[in-house]
Amino acid sequence: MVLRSPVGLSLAALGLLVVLIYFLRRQPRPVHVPALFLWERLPPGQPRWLSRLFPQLDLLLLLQLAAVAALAVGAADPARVGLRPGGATLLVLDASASMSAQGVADQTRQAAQAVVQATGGPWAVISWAQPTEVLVPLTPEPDQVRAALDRYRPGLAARPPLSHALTLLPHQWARIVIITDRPPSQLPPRAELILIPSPNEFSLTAFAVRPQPDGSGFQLLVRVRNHTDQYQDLPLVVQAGETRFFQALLLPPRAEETLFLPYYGPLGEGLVAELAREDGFPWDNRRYFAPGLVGCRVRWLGQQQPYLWAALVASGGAELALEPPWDLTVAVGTSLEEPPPGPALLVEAGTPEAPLGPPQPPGEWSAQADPLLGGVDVSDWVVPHVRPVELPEGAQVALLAGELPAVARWESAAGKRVLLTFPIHGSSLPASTGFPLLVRNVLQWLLPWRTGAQYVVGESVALPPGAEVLTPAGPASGVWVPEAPGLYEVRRGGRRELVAVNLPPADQVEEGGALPLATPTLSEPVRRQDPVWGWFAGLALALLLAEGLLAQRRG
Amino acid sequence: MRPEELLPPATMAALAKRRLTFRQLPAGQPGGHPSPRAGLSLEFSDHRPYQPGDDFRQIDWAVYARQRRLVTKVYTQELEAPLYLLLDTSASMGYGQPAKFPLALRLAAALAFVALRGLDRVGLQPFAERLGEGLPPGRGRGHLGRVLSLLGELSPRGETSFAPVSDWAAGGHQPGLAVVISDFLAPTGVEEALTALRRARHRVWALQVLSPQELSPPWRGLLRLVDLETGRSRVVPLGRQALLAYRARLAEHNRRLAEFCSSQGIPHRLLASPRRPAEIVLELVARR
Repeated sequence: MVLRSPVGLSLAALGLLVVLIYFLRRQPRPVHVPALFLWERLPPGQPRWLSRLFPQLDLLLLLQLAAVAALAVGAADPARVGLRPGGATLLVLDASASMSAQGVADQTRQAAQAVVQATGGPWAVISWAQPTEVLVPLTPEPDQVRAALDRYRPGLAARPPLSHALTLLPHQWARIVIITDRPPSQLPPRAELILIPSPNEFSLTAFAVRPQPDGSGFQLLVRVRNHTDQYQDLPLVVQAGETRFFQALLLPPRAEETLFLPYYGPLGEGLVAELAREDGFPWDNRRYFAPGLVGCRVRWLGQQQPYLWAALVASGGAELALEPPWDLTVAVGTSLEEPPPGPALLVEAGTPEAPLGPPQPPGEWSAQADPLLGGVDVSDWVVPHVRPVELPEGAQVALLAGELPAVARWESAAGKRVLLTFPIHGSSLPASTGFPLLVRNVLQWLLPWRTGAQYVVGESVALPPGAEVLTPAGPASGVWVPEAPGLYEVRRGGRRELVAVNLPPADQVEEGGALPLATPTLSEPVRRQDPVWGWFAGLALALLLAEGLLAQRRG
Repeated sequence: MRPEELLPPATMAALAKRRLTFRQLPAGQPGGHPSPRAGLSLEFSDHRPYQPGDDFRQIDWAVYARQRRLVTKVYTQELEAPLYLLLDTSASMGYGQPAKFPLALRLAAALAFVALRGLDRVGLQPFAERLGEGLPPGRGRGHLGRVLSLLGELSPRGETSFAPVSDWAAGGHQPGLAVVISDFLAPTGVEEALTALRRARHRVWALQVLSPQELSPPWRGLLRLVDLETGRSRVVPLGRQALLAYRARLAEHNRRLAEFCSSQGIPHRLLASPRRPAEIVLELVARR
């Protein structure tokens, strides 16, 4: 231990003052005895001065002197000295929705504190969520880092690609420590991962509604995941307005199951699906669904596809229109001579800007980070074939089947385009949960507001002119960033509509862009001093408190 | 203190079959204690040759039939011995943690219970700087209630003095067992009082009650020692040496008391630790 400000020791001179005052003002303490004659003419003790002085010292005086000594040492700013591994360390704290689970944030702070304690710094801290925030830039002061850790609060939003977070603080980091409950799909070289166990036991990972192809009612598509190693008996409740439907589920360990439930009720007030059991992360036990906005006029070209039509009606409130104006063109299994005006969904349909080749056997699925595949699990998709395509410049491929694009999107002069290079007929898509989600994502990208009834927390929503959404904080218009999941009411031109906001899907593909390389910097161990004056100040206070209590007890 | 606190049922159960017995009783009225002298009672002791003047009713005719000589049956003499409880009620008896006075009260109650169960008479005499209002010897269940009631009303006050004990001894009470319960922390008068009791032909027990704080004071530092009884005070820098000197002086005081009691044939017991009164009385009864 070293004293960083030895001048503070001069406060010890107060001890002399305390002793002086004690001897000037000391009063013998009265004590009752049953027989005073036994105490009279006691023989003197040993002649040593210390033996004579000791009986005159009082515990109160000793406590006061000890408090003064502790105060003097504390004023000298004592510090513990230790050698720690040095080098710039970046702490990336996951602040996405799953980190809001019970106790996870505290464990994250403790893990970060342990890193700070064990290293010599300097450090920087990033809160990795949507939006990413620099809690503290590079600093050699551990106290600043601790204060930044206190400000760390996970939200309910998704997390952006790790590369986006790392570009906020470009530096030659010696260490990058990522503290999260879900490892990212890509790690920078030499990055360290600290995994926090999640108390999440089960979650409702997807909830969608689509009409029955025969028009008799709807189908609820629910996907539930069991994160534990035990069977889970879960009550599923679907609420539509005042009406509630119950369904008991038994999930095997570590399993995810998809259910198709018939539903014949109204959709007007939106639907809420909920697992009616508490676990460590209750936010993902509930999902919302709002019906699509009415009035989306669809121009249909090519073959009929009832499953696609049903998904369009459920997600976008589509209605077939033979005459213009059209909001959306859907082409299935055909080849268009001219580019369609406005947004278009092309299902195995070629256009002059993206002509299709002959069918080829599909390869392995390879999903990319793309909004079209948010919450979509493609692992169980089976398609008869895919067609090669010449994509225009600037096109984004969301899904590859082997080497061939399977799902792609681009924007042309005529409008936005989404292309599926495989047929829906004869594929397993209509029976998968991912299909209505894919259609919803497609419509949300093609028609950002007209059909965008489903949103996720933390992602901005551009409200159309004249529309305002009612939030707990008051009405919002323009660009609105939902902060919590739920069903929100939108008022536009005297009409009342609903939008659903859900948590981002946990398995969202998030990586995109190149990760910056962390160049390991070989650095010498840092001689670090941890201030401990607080301990001495606390000791002085405790001693004074004990002295006060003792004095009060003696009266 | 309430009677049930002075003499709990557990104490009564432990002492129910005990009796006070004495080997050297002064001459007195017939009673329940066996005397070394021969006398009239139901307890057969021995035969002796007939002497003129002996009671014809005491001649053992069975022996005469066998041996053709006259012998007289001799019986054990049984005398009565009242129990006098002389209880110190000075202020110093209220000292200590736990205080000495409750122990002294419970001890007196337990001794009274044992004596009354043995059909002895029991008297109670509190004393401090003067004799307090006492209870004359009596027997029976009702008398036990009166003893407990008086004990419950007592409180420690006044100065310690053994002159009242000497006065009581000169009062002409029937000889019996006089039990003095006190801390005996008086500079003078203790030996005179015990001698006066012996001269009045009483058997005497001296039960000295001290508290742990008296034996080993817990204080240190500069102290103003105030006498509980007189209010006189003295400033003492109390350190290790002074404490050792105090302990030596107290030990000397107790040793002198014990030696004096031994020379007078007075059983002396120093009760220095908190103990159950029933245990102490059982020990006393067993030793006598």
